[in-house]
Amino acid sequence: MRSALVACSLACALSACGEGPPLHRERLFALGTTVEVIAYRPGEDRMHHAVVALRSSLERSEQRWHPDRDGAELAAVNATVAAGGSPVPLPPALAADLRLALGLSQASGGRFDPGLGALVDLWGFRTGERAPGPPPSQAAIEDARPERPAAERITLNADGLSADPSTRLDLGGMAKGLAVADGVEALRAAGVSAGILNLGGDLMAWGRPGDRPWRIAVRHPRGDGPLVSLELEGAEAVFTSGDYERWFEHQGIRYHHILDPTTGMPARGLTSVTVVHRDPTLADAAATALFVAGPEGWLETARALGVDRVMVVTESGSVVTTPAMAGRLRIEVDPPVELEVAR
Amino acid sequence: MRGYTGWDLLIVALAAAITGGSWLTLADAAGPGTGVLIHTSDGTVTRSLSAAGRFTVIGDRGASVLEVSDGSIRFVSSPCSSKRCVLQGPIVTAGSFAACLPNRVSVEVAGERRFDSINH
Repeated sequence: MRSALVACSLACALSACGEGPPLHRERLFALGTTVEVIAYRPGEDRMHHAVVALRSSLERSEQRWHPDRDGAELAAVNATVAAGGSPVPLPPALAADLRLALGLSQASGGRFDPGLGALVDLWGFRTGERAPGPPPSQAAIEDARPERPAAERITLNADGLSADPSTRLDLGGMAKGLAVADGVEALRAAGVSAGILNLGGDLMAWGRPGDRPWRIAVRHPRGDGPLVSLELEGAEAVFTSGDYERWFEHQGIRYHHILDPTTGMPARGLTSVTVVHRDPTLADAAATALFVAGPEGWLETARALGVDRVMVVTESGSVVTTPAMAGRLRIEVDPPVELEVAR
Repeated sequence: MRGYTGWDLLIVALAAAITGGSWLTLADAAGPGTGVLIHTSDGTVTRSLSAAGRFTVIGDRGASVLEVSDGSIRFVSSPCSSKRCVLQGPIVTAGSFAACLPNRVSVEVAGERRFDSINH
């Protein structure tokens, strides 16, 4: 087996020599997920430096936003809040992130909530390693569920952040967007003029791979293959929130990680929400908020957040898009599904 | 990847250097898997999809057992609690991907791709 692996490595290397592929791909592990970098004709030295810069950027992200890792800025804030230490002085960059989070929370009508850390911990979705078993009791959920929207229970001013000691900040609904924004900036600064940064399935593309656009597939929420594909022009992010990423099943019921702040339970009605936007942080938070808003509220919430390219898949399998998104999508399933355009 | 000699690792490293990790091609049409890339915290190695059999990859937590069969690859076991990687089953088409995140082991089918990247 050992010789086969070595021989295969050589064969693959030699076959690559003759083709001169224009795309360079790298995979690494960071932020608890896999990271894929695709660069168009970066040059070997430049790509090496770019990946080093990206690693540094992702490490800074983790250092800033991890909610409970020793030494992480957000973890320190959570510890101080829990000890009754409000207001908590904040590092400037973290203060800017939290201000943005509270603004998005307010704009989404509280559907995106950066203060659900206690609830996320209760459900065991922090690491994606929840062991099989029943969901938390209703009493425990009521205990961990916030009574008011984040913008009403968390305040941020010149003195710092103030919140009830039971509050546990968790930027999981937008941290990937923030990390992608910073990561793309690092890659571009390192000289990658066209590429894709895919962080655990959510991505941003910039530039063009030669004379064609980037081609992206969006996974079917109930299958392994793509549901639709789209082409990206210039700098655009594609973020999807789905009930298939972190979940467990108990007595035939699927419990997933996208929690509704008003009930403390997994949001129901949709299986995935895909948002395309130039701003990856907005796309990330919007995908979460629209998922929570459900079949009846997603369009209104999208308008409130200023995102106009959205596709949702309902629990019954209907695929519904905004008008601006409909023309961008190509169906990739056979037999094809019909796109319903919401107005 | 225990059990390899220094020369084996040198050859694999040279192969990876030659490919530059870039042999997944820009392609218009989907194609069958031509091999599999195995990613760990230590780097990436390649393996044929035509040689059936089970093998072990050492990740951050321990041993993940993978199986190549009929041009596909799957996780047989891994030291995680959810076993999502095992439940995912075999992957076969170029660009398909499976991972045990807690153990930091992922596998990716190589070959001609229809898409530059997958959103999920």
